[in-house]
Amino acid sequence: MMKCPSIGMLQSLLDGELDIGLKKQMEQHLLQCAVCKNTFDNLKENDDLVYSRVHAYRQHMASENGDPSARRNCGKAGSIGSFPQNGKIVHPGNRNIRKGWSVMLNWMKKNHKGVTAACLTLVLLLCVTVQPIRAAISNALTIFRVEKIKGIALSMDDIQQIQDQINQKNPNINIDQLGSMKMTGGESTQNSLAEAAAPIDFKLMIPKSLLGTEPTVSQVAPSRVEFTLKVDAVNELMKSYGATKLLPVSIDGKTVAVDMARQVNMVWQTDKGTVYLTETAKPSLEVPADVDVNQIHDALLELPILPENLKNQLKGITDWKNTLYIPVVGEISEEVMINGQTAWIYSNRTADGKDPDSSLQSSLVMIMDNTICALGGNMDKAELIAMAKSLVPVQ
Amino acid sequence: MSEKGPAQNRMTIGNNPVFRDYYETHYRRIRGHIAYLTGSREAAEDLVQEAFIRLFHSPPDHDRVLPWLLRVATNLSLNHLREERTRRGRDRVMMEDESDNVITVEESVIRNQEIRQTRKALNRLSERDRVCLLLKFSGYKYGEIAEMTGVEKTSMGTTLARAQAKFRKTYNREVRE
Repeated sequence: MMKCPSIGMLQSLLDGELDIGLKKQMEQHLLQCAVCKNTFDNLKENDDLVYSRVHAYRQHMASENGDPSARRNCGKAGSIGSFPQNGKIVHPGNRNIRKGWSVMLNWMKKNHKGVTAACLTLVLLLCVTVQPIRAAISNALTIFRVEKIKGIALSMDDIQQIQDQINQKNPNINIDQLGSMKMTGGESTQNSLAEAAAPIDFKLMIPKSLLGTEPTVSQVAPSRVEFTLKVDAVNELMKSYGATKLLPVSIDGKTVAVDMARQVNMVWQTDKGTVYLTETAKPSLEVPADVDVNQIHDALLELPILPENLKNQLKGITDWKNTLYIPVVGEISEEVMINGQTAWIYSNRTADGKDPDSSLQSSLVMIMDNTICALGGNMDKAELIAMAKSLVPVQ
Repeated sequence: MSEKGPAQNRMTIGNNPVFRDYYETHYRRIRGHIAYLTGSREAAEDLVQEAFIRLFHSPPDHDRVLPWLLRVATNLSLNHLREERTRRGRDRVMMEDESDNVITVEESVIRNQEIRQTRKALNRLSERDRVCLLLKFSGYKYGEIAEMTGVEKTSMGTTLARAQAKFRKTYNREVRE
């Protein structure tokens, strides 16, 4: 048996930097040496965590979105001679729906401040984002599934208002008192396009013009989040916010589960900039058959801490069970039709060329057949719509 | 007008078509690379100009311009990080991100939180460790990272293992706070 390798060697093994002979020897050693195996597993955990965080960070930093300093600075050191400042990378951050969930859960567990805002949002999302596809898959469960999307205009002020109210009234709420949550799955991997296109849960689509090119692809495995609510505690909390309608006692101890499907993230670097596409099958919600979701929905919408305009928008939607809400922050987004389906599109540059200082970027969210797509890129609204219309299955 | 390499041209920067072509082709990539390494888009706006000015004044004697630019950009980023640390001498105040986009709820509340924590954890690393780690996760092999940062290739594994362990530790601490 070989001598125990250094941590640096183990890291090199993990990073695929060893030549084949040494690699085989080390793998053999790990099978026999519990100490090294343990060290290796720990390195692997570090690696996975850093990868997932840095991946999101990288997409964020490589984009132009959301950083006021970038805009402020545009044009300052921006021009050499007459060169156009068209070098704006786009995309809008990762529309990592599933990752969002898991991050949210961690955050809710660890961050007491504002936890109720998140909790409320989550419950609202659960309650308003899904629709019965069949009455029930068995007698025991009702399965809801997203069928439509709807933009809800929301300002940062609205979010702030909810948070402020919550902080004022009950700053120390602990999620553990409200129920329990369990999350499984959701691991992310890097893959080739062909690998990502192989599974049959949904048909992977890409823009026609990018057929034959290889994007950077990462996948998030399916995940499931289970919530078991303690109704008394939740109702107490709601009362403290001035609620008069409360959750039905019958849901106490019942488990509600959200199933998030596999998610594929693709990024292309093209001559014109970045194109970003995320696809996932529709998420679904499992609710015990004797739980009345209407009652929960109504109770939540009556909460006095919801800003009036938000409440009215939500109330105006009668088919809430089959709608995925997309909070639209700011004013420059609109509903468009893509191949007969509703999509929500955001673009930072309007046709009249307002705001020439900011980078050109557009993004949209839509549902196609069984798939939720978020497409974004370094292009204007018309180009993005054309690209969205051109989505074709990967062969 | 069609010479390979920008070296031969004695025109001014603004109307040199060869240079202009490089600029237009690589500008975004280089700026993104710098923003990623330094964690500052503001710095990236400045340093990307610096990288291209170097390309114009002292171009490489080969045509592999992109790798050359990436190496220069990495160097500029490392220097920037070092200067920044000297200048401030203490932890940076992270800029709060504002989003005015179509975003999902969890992004509006959470995503930026994650990015902020990632930034903070990166800022706790030494400049060299930080850049090695970030280069690795943008796809560079040990040999290339060694060449760009001056860290010995043979100690790259140790450097990365240490940087990643520290990242995880400080990241988790940030999340708990």
